[in-house]
Amino acid sequence: MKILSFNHYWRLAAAYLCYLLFAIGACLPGLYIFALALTPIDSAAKQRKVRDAIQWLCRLYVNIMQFIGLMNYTVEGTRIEGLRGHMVISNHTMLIDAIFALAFAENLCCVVKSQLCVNPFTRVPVRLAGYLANDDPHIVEKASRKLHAGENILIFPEGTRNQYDLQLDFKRGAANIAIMSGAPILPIVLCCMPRALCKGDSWWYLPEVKSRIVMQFKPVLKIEDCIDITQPRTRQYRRLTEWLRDYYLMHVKKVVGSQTN
Amino acid sequence: MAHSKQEVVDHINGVLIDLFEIEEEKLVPEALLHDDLDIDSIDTIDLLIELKKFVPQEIDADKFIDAKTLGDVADIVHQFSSET
Repeated sequence: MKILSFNHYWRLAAAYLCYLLFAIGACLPGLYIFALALTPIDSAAKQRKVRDAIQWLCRLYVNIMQFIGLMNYTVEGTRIEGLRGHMVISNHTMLIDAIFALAFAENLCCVVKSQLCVNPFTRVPVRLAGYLANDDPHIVEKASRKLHAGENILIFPEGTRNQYDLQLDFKRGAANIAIMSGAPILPIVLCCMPRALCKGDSWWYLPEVKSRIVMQFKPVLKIEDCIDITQPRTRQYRRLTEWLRDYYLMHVKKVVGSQTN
Repeated sequence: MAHSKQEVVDHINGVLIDLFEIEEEKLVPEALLHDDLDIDSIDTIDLLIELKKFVPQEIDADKFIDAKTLGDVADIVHQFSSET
């Protein structure tokens, strides 16, 4: 049996604690909104308050993870204050990508796996925050409406966590929403080095050394700067999907390459 | 004007090649729209909009959306083409 370092055992204990904290933390917005339900404010204001609470909890959560030594993180680039009507797009490398996005971008509506809508720990905050289920047949129209109303939509074009940093399989869903809505795109690049919390890994499977997470906010993209918008829409979906995949490949390569040199 | 089945098939194939960038060799009647041709739900709507221009009669959207194969699509479009 392989003998692990003290730091490795420490991080295992920290990971267990963080899972426990997440389970408890996910219930808190539900309790919070229960109190909000008794206050005379409209549903949009309630939704915003729940999202602010989720952002606060996610920020607290990533700081706890860093404080207890589970990982280190850095946030690079310029974050936009008062972000409105943007598609926030990220590559999907680890289990906690959404936690980072929610922690550092405001008023986010997530496209979540439909299982999260029934999971006992997540279904209440997911519903109250007005998130969209990925199996909703009207997701594109609903997302477009939300973008036009000034909400921001967080979407992982890969749909699920990737297996390798430089092997990205982007689905067309993100491009469909971007083209239907015409919303600007705020790209977030997330890298975890060494990779951790990957798809299929058990929670106790951690790399031998502590991971460093880099989150980069990139300049906002307009669709017309990425692709030819005079093409038929069906071609635009495909061109934008390819364009975004290549964009992420380039930027992930820069971050991962700079860490290994 | 009614279209023959072959005209319908040729038109659908042309649309799939031009607008959806699908290789011609994949366009066989038994091809599954989603699994073999990578036609998602948004594409289905766009395909329906495009094919409505070819058939001067409203195509039943529910029937069209339920189509599983390219052959199903051709049958539905031909049926509405023949009824005009």
